[in-house]
Amino acid sequence: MGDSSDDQDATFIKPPDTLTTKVRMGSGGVDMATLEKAEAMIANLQGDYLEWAAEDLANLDQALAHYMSNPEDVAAANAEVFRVAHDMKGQGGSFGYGLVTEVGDRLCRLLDSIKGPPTEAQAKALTLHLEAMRIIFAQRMEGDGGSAGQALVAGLEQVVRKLSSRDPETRA
Amino acid sequence: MQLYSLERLNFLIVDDNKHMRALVKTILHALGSKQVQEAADGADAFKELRHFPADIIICDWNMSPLDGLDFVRLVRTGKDSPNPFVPIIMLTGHTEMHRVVEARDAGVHEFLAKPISAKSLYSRVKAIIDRPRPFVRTKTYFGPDRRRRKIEWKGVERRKANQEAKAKAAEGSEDASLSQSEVEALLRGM
Repeated sequence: MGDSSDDQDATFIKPPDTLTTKVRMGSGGVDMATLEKAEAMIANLQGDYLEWAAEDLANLDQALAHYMSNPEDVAAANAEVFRVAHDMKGQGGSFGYGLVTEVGDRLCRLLDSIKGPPTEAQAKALTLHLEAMRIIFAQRMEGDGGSAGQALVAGLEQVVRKLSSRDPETRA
Repeated sequence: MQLYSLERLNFLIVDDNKHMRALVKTILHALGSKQVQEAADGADAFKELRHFPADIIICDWNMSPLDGLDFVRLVRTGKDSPNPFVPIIMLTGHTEMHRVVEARDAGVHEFLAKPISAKSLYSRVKAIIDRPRPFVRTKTYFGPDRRRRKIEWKGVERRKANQEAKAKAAEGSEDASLSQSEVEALLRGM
C-alpha cells in the first residue's frame, strides 16, 4: 500500500487505448435489446444448469461426508466443501435459483466458522444445509422460493443461531 | 448514446469451473463477441496470453495452482508478461471489503460479484471502455490508477480512504459482504 514516499515516486503511464477503436469498428452495438436477448439466452441454459447442479449436489454430498469422517487433513476437507458450496452460491442466482445462492452463502459462512473437525452439532447443521439444497432442486424452488423457501432459510438460521449460543466460535 | 460493439474484442475467461466458463462465454457471444478463449487456472491463462492477444480478461479468484490474485500480479509485474496493461475484471463470490481492496491492490480494473447476469457483466466491460485508466508505477504497486475520479493527483485522498477501509475492517466489519453497487462505490471512492 502506498505511503507518502511511495506516492511521491509515482510514475504515470498512458497505455495504448485499443479498445475504443475496436468497439467503434465492429458491427451491432450492445443496446437494451441485445442485453435482453443475452438474459434470455441465460434463461435458456436453465435446463443445463439443473444438470450441473445435480453434479454439484453429488460433489457436495461426497465432500461433506469426507469432512465428517475425521480425515487426516481436516482443513483441506473443509476447504473442499467450501469450494463446492462457493461455486453453487456463485451460480444459482444467475439461473433463477437465488435460494441456492442464499443457502450456499450461509453454508460457506458456517464452514468458515468451524475450526478443526466438526462437532456433532456442527455436522448436523452442515447436513441440514445439504438437505436444504436437495429440497430446493427437488421442488424446483426458483427465485426466493416463496414462503416455503423462506421457511427453509429461517429454519437454517435458527439451527445456526442455536449452534452459536452453544459455541461462541460459530458465528455464521 | 454511443453503442459499443464487442465483435472485435478478444476475451480471455479464466475460471476453474467449466460451468461458470460456459455461462460467461454464452453471455459474451450473445453480446456479439466472436473471439473468446478459455483457461482453467492462472498458469494456463498466462500461457494462453502468449499467443492470444486478449483485450479484456475475466478472471475468477479461487483457482489452483495459481489463483486469480497471483495471476493478476503475474500479468502486471511478471518479467515475461505479454501484456501488463490488459484490463482485468475479477469475478468472484468474495465481496468482503478487505477482499475488494486486496484485488484492487493487485491491479484489477473492475470487480464483478457473482452471481452474474448479462447486464452486470456488460456494465463492467462498458466501465473499462468508458474510462481508460492511466497506469501507475510506484515502489510497491503497478497497475491501473486506483483513484478513478478525474481530479488532480492528491495522494492523501487514497491514503485516507484506505485508512477508513482498514478502520472498518478493524471494527470487525471486514467479513460483511458488499453488494455490486457498494463495491463500485468503494472502488470509486478510493
